[in-house]
Amino acid sequence: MSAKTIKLTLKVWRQKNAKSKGKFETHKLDHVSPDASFLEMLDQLNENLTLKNNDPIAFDHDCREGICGMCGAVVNGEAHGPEKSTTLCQLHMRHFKNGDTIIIEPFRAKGFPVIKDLAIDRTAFDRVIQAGGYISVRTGSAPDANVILIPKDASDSAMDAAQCIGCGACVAACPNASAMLFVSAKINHLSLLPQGQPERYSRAKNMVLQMDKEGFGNCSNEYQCEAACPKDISVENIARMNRDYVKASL
Amino acid sequence: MSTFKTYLNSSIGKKQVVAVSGVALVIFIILHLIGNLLIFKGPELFNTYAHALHSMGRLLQVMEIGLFLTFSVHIIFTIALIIENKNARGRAYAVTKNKNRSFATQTMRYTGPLVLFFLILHLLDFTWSAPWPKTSIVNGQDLATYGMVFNALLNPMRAVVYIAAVCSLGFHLSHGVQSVFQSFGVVSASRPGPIRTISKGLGYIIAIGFSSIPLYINYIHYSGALLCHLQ
Repeated sequence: MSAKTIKLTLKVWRQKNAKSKGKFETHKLDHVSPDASFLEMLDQLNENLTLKNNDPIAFDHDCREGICGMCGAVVNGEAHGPEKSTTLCQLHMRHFKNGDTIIIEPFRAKGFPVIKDLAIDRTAFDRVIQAGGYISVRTGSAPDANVILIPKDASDSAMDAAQCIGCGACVAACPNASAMLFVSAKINHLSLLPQGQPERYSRAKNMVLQMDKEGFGNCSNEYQCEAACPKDISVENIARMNRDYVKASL
Repeated sequence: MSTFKTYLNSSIGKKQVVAVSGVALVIFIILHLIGNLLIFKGPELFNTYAHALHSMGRLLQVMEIGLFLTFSVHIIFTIALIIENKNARGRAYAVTKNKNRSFATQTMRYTGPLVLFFLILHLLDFTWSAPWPKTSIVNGQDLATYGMVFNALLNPMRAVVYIAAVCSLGFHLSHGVQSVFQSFGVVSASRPGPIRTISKGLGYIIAIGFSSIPLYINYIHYSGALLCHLQ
């Protein structure tokens, strides 16, 4: 543990509920350890607020290991903050300087209404997944691992797409609040594998239509989603999804 | 809703319509540039080309209507996408930081309207202008279409507007062409590679190619080289 601590000015978005207007609130925070994670820094701020009988800042979090996809906020204009391939919980305060002002906003999108402060409702993503279909009958025990042979490059690409943790940073970073990186990752981790072929095109079509229904924007090929993704999901997935969607539609 | 209507209403459908209409417009622009560059070959050949175009009669009209419809589709679908995209964000961020977003990419929605504005001026100048013989007279000789283009682009204001417009078009295409490949998923244009190079290269060719015309006209006028053409 480093003994040196830093002082910060935090401008945090406060919003009571989805309907209220919301505004920025400024807090000074001293004695922040550079070894603390961003969420631990927020915990420290919340402790101070609670001790003063103020309402603590609501923010999403769960595993704090960068694997669950629950946390996320826009820090100084960047989804999950300035570090590449890093979730907010894995961002450490050593990347900030003493005296820095940090502006913290929720992921902003019509498809992600604010629940409170930095906590947002991402159930739109669940409905997109549901639109892809699911199996509700027993299909027997798991088959032997090598019954269906899968080419290495296909399995690699599918696993890369399956890395998506559904955090929504792609929507937050996209200038159009488009969810295409998320949706394409979810479509492709199945469409690239032999097991995903039977419903490949209907799945792509249904998931895209649900994505549109949720009010997300359209891709304008600016690739900000890929730059913000903590799991390095490639926009090649969007190209594949576009291809499958045309085949499904025409 | 029919399958095709669903497709046209969907996010991917709309951007693919923008892409297809964009490809048609790019093909037109390339042909237009090749035709215009004949100006370097002197008044005779350029006027023969202009005359050949006009003598197409009905076919030319059909092509013009097709072009108008393609432009309209490109613009209407883009406006629909822009409105949806604005609504999708809701409240704007207090701070935004763009990572690896090129200048051409960021200015698409400005270069598009600039090109449209110029297109209207351009049509007023060269297509819808009333036949006025004086505009085609250069050094006392009636040079028909060549003379009309020559006199128009000799005007420094017009030359500057023309160059600014074709540079906007070049920027627009340097993002637009690679977007077509990504939108149809032919090849992902996400990484620096041949698709991006082709897209940027085409943007430069269009911008430099069209810009060379007013520069050339001013050059031959002020250097006296025009007289060689007229002899």
